[in-house]
Formats: sequence, C-alpha cells, structure tokens
Amino acid sequence: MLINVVTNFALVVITICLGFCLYRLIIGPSFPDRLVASDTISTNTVAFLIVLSIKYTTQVFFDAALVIAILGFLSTVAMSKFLIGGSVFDRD
Amino acid sequence: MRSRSFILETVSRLVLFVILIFSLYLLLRGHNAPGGGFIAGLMTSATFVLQFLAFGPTNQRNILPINFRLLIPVGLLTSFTTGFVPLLLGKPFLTSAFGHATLPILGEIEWATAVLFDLGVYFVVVGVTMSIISAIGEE
Repeated sequence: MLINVVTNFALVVITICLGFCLYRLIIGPSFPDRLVASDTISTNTVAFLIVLSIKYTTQVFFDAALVIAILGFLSTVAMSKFLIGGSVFDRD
Repeated sequence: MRSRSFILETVSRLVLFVILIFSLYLLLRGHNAPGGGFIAGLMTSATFVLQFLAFGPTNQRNILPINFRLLIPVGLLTSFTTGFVPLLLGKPFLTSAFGHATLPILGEIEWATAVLFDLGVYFVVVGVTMSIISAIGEE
C-alpha cells in the first residue's frame, strides 16, 4: 500500500523534526530560541496527529489536533507578550 | 504600560467565535464521544484569556461583567442536582436517562441527562480557571 509507506515516512520525518525542536528547546541559548522551538513543537504535533488519523482512517484525533493548535497559539502569544513587556497582562 | 497590537486585537476578535463554537460542540457531544465539560470549559477560558491578553483585564471586565467566582457554586449545584434526582425516583445515584426526540430543523437527535451534568462541570471549570488567571494577572 502506497499510502501506508507515505504516512510512515511522514511520521518518521515529523518525529526527527520534533527531536531537533526539543534539542533547541533545551539547549537554546536565548529566550526567543526557546519560544520559536515551542511554537514549532505545537505545530509539528498537530501535523503528527493529522497524519496519524490519515494512517488509521479515523476522525478521533482531529479534535485533539484542534485543541493543541488553539493552546499552542495562546501560549505563544502569552510568551511573546512576556518577552516584549516583561508582564503578560497589561495594567492601565 | 499599555502596548496595543493591532494584529493581535483583530485576530483575537475573529478567533473568539470560532473557539466558542468549538467549545460548545465539545460540550454537546461529550456524553458519547471524546469531549465533555472539562475540555469545553478549558476552551472557553482560552477565549477569555486571549481577550485578556489582547485588550487588557480592565477593558475586558467592562465588556463582560461576570463574577467568575459565582460560577463555581452554580456549576456544583447543577451537577449535584443532576445526580440527586434519580435518587428521589428510587434509582442509583447519577443514573442517566436518555431517549430520542425530533426537532424541527435538526431532525431526530438523541438526548441524555448526562449533558446537564457536563454543563455543571463546564461552569465549575470556567469559574476555577478564570479565578486563578485573574488572581495571577492582578498580582
């Protein structure tokens, strides 16, 4: 089956990408490196779940992918605001 | 210091309704599919936190004047009542009734009283999460 080979290859590639991102998240010399690494990890996790649900022909993982996408976006915004201003919530 | 970001405000205004509808979908299918009150409450609080981040807590409190601490007893009372009513009818605690109903547009759907229990869990999760985040944000 061609689709099985393709999805297996994609899963392996995404896993290698996740490993590189984890390396940058742990080693990363500065805070922006870690921020970009964690954002890329959440995006790669969404891609992993979508490919997994194509491989097993199920829709169960789609909701989990959507939840991870929303939470990843939210955490990236919060960490960026912390990086810019020093505080997450503005006081006015 | 108040740093306004035009891109963040526009995106959070657009995304608000998408996440709210997704959380409603998770809440309503929770009794027989992945989902439920807990994750739906977390998604709803994610929208509120996004509005907090984009517009600031003070503006947000003027737009949405809800005391989130009041949601915790309301949700606990809803869940407890849903579990307690079968006890009065001589059935075990937390027995769920279900059946089929025909609605005008949606057609035939299956209803279950487990949705009411999920609704209580939803209120508790939204109340607890927003109380914690407001307390942290006002430090």
